[in-house]
Amino acid sequence: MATNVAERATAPVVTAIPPTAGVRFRSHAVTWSWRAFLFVVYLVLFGPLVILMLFSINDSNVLAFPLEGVTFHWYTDAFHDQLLHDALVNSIVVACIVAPICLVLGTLTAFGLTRFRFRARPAVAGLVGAPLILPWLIIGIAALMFYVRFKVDLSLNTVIATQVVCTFPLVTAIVGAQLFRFQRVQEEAAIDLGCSRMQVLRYIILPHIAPALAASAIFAFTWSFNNYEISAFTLGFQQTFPVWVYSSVRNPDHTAIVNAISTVISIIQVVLLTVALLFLRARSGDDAARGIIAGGEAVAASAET
Amino acid sequence: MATADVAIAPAKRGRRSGGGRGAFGILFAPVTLLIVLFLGPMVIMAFMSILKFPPNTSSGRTLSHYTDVLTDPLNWKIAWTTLWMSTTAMIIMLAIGIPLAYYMVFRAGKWELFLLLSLVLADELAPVVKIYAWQVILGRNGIVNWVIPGPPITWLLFSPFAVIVTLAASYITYTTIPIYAAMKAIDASMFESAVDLGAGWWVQSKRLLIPLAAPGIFIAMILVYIPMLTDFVTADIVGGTGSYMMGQRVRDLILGSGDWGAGSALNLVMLVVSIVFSLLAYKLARLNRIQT
Amino acid sequence: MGRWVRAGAAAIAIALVGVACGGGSSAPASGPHGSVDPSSITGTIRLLSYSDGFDPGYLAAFQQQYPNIKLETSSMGSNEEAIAKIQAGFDADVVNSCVDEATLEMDEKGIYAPLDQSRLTNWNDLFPSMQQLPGVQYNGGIYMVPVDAGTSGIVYNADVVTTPPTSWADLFDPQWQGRAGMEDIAVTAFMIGALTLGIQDPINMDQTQIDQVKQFLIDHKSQFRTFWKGDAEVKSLFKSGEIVISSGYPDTAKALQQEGVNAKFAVAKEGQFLWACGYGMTPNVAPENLDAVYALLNYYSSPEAELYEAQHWNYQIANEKTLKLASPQLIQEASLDAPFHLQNAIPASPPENRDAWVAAWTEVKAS
Repeated sequence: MATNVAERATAPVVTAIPPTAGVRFRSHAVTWSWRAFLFVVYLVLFGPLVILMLFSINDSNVLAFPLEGVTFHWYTDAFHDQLLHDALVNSIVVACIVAPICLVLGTLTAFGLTRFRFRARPAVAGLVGAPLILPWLIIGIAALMFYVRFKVDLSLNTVIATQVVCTFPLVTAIVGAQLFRFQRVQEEAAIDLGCSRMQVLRYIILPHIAPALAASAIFAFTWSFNNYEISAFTLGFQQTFPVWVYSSVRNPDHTAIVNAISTVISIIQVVLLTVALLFLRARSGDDAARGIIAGGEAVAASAET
Repeated sequence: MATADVAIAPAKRGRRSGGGRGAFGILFAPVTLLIVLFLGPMVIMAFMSILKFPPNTSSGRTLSHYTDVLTDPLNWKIAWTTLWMSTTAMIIMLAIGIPLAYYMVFRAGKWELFLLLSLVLADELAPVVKIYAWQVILGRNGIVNWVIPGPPITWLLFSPFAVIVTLAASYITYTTIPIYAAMKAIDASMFESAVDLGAGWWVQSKRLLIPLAAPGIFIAMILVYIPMLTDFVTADIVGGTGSYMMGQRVRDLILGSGDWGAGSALNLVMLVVSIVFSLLAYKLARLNRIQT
Repeated sequence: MGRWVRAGAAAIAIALVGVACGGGSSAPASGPHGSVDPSSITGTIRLLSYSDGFDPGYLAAFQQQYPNIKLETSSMGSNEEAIAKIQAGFDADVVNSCVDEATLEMDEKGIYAPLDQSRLTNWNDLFPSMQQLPGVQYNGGIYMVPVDAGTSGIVYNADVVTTPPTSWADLFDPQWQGRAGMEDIAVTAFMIGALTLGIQDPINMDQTQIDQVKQFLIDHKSQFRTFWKGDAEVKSLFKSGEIVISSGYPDTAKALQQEGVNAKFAVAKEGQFLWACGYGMTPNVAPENLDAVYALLNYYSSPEAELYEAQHWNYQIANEKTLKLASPQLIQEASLDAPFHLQNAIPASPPENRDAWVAAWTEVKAS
C-alpha cells in the first residue's frame, strides 16, 4: 500500500485516463502549452540578466544600443576596485551571519504561531508580519535614529541587528505556510507508536518542512545580501555591495562595472547552486521517499476519520 | 530542542491545553528582538510624527501632520494610483505563480529542483540593476520595439505599463515560492481521485488545488502585495512622470522636503492599513483551512 | 606637482606651530621651503560627498602624498539627503555641498563649523567670485572651501533638433512632447520654469510665483519622458533615443559625442544658472584628525586636483593657479578663466525659500 501511494503520488495525473488518440493529442497540446508558458516566464525572469551580461562586455559605459565593441576592461576595473572588494566582503559576511540566525528565529516563530492558540496570537502575528510590510526605507531611518538615541555606534553590527529583525519574518511566513497544511495526526500517530520527541522532530517534522527551510535559507541570504534601504542608514562608513551599487548610479563608469560584477556574481551563484543541486540529489533519495510516504499515510489516516 | 519538546507534548493531550506556556517559551527570543529592534524605532518614528516642523524636540507637539496627510487630495490620488497598479501586478503574478508552482510540484518530476533553484537564482541580482535593464527592453529603441514592426510604441516605458510589468517580473519569485511550499504539502493522489470521479482540470483547480494552496497564496500576497504598495525604486526608474507611487511620496517627503512629520505620519497610516490587510488575509487563510 | 604639495604641507606645518591650543599630532616646524614630511600627518577622515568627490583617480595623488591618512567615504545622493542623515545622527568630518543647493543651509543648521583661514593654504588663490559665493563665508567666518563650478543649459541631439535651441521655452516646444528630459532637482526645474515664464529674479520668487511655476510644470508634465537623476541616466536616455532635448551640463554633451551621439550644448537666452560646490568641516571633528581634514581641504583646492576636474569633467575651477597648468585649449573648452563672468549667468546661489521650492517640486512630481 505504501509503495503504491508513493508511486502514484509521483506519476502525472493524466495517466489515470485510458489513452485514446484524442486524449493523446490533447496531452500533446497541454505539454506544449506548458512548455511555452515556462519559456515565456523564464524569458522574463532571465532576460534582464542576459542584457546586463551583454552590456558588461560593451565598450561603452552607457546602457543603450548600439553596442560599441567588445571589451573586458570593465572586469579588470572591477577587479582593481578596492572599495568594491570591501563592499562585497562586507555584504557576504553580513549575509552569512544574518541567514542562519533568521532561519532559527523564523522557524521558532512559525512553530509558535501555527501550533498554539493563545489570546495574544493575532497581536504577535501582526508584530511578526510588520517588518515585512513597512517600507525598509522608513525602518532604516527609524533604526538610525534609535541607535543614535541610545548611543550605539553604527557599524556592520547595527546592520546585522536590524536586518535580522526585518528578515526572519520572511522565514516565518514561508515555513508557516507549510506548517499550516501539516497534519498533526502524523505526529500523534508517531508518538502513539512509541517515537521519542526527538525522533518525531527529526523524522516527521523536519523532512516535511525541509523544502521550506531550504527556500527560506536562500531567501534570507539573498535579502540580506541585496538589502539597500536598511544598510544605507544603519551602516557606519563601511559599505555593503548594494550601497556601493546605488552610490555608483551617479558615476557612469561605475554603472558598467556594476554590470561586470553582477555577471560575475551570477556565474558564481549558478556554480554554487548547481553544486548544491547535485549534492541534494545524491542525498535526498531517502528523505524524499520518506516524505512522500509520510504524506501518503496522512491521507490514508485522514480518509478514515 | 527543549522548546520543540514542549511544543510536541501538549499536542498529544489536545490542542488547547498548555498552549500559552509553550508558545511563550518558543516565541520569547523572536518577540523580544522584535520589540527592541523594531518597535523601538517605530515608537521613535511615531514620536517624530507628532512633532511640529522643523523636526527637533523643542518644536512642540501636534497632530496636524495626520490631518494634513489624510485630507490632502494629492495623497488620495497617489494612493489610488498605487493601489490599482499594485493590484494589477498582483493579479498578473498570481496568474503566473499558481500555474508555475503547480507545474513545479506536480508535473516537473526530476526538473523540479532545477526549476526551483533557477527561479531563486533569477532573483539573486540586486533589483536596481535589473530594473535598468528593463529600460533597454521596453524603450523606444529597445528590444520589444525592435521585434515588433512599425513605428516605436512609446507607452511601453516610462508609463504605468512599465511599472506594472517590471513589478510583476521582479516579484514573481517571491510569489511562486510560498505557493510552491504550500502545494508541496498537498497529496497528489487527491487529484487522481478527483479525475477518477470525473472532474475536469477547472473543477480540480477550483475545488482542490486553490483551496489547499490558499495559505500559500495568502502568504505570497502579504509578502509581495504590501512591498509593492511601498515600492519606489521601480517607479523612479521606469515610471516616467505619470505614475507616482506612495513609496516615492514618503521618500520625497522625508528625504526631499525634510518633512519628517508628514512623512512619518503618512508612513504610520500605511502601516495601520497594511496590518489590517494582513490580519484579514491571515484570518481568511485559517478560515479556509477549517472548511476543508 | 610635488613642489606645490610640499609647499602646501610646509604651510600647514608653519600654521600648526602658530596655533595656540593645538590638538594631537602636529608636524615639526621647519623653514618655508618644506622639509615637512606629509607622511607624518595622521588621522582618519570621514567624508560625505557626491561620488565624484572620492573618485579614485581624483584622490590618487592625495592618497599617495599622505599615506598615513585614512579616508573613509560615504556617498550622498543630494544635499538634502546629507542633511537628513546628519541631523538623524550620522557622523562625518568633511561634507560636500553645493552653493545652489544647501551650503548656506548647512551653515545655518550648524552642520558646518568655521574654518581657520590661516590653515587654508589655497584660499588666497581662489577667484574672488568663488570666495564670495553665498554660504562660503558666513557670519564673518569661512565655512566652506569652494572647489568647482559649472553652468546649466540645454543639451540637445543636433541630428533631431536641427535648429539649435536658444531659449528655455524650447524645452516645452510641443514638437518634442514626450521626448524632453528634465533633471530631478527642485532648484533646476523651478529655475527653468520661472525663466520660461519670464519671471525676473527667480531666486527671490515669492510664494505666488512659486505656485505659478508649479502649476506650469504640472500642466506640462507630459512634455517630459522622465525626470532623470545623474549623469549615467541622462546619457543613456539620449543615446537610446528616449529624449532629444533636456536640461543639462556641457560635460554631458561632450561625453555623449564620444558615444557617437551628435549632442550639443546651448545656452538659453533667459539666463544660464550656475552651480558651485565645495567642502566644509563639521563641528564633530576630533582634534587628532584636524590636520588630516585640512590636508584634504587643501588638496581639493589645490591646482593639481582642480586640473584633474577640468580635464576629466570639464568642471570650472576655483583656484586661479590652475590656469598656469592647463592647456589653452582646455581653458577655452571649459571656460576656466571666467567663472561667473559668463553671459547672462545667474550666480550660483540658493533660493531664498528653498524649502518652499523643494516642497513644490515634490508636489509637481506627485501630481
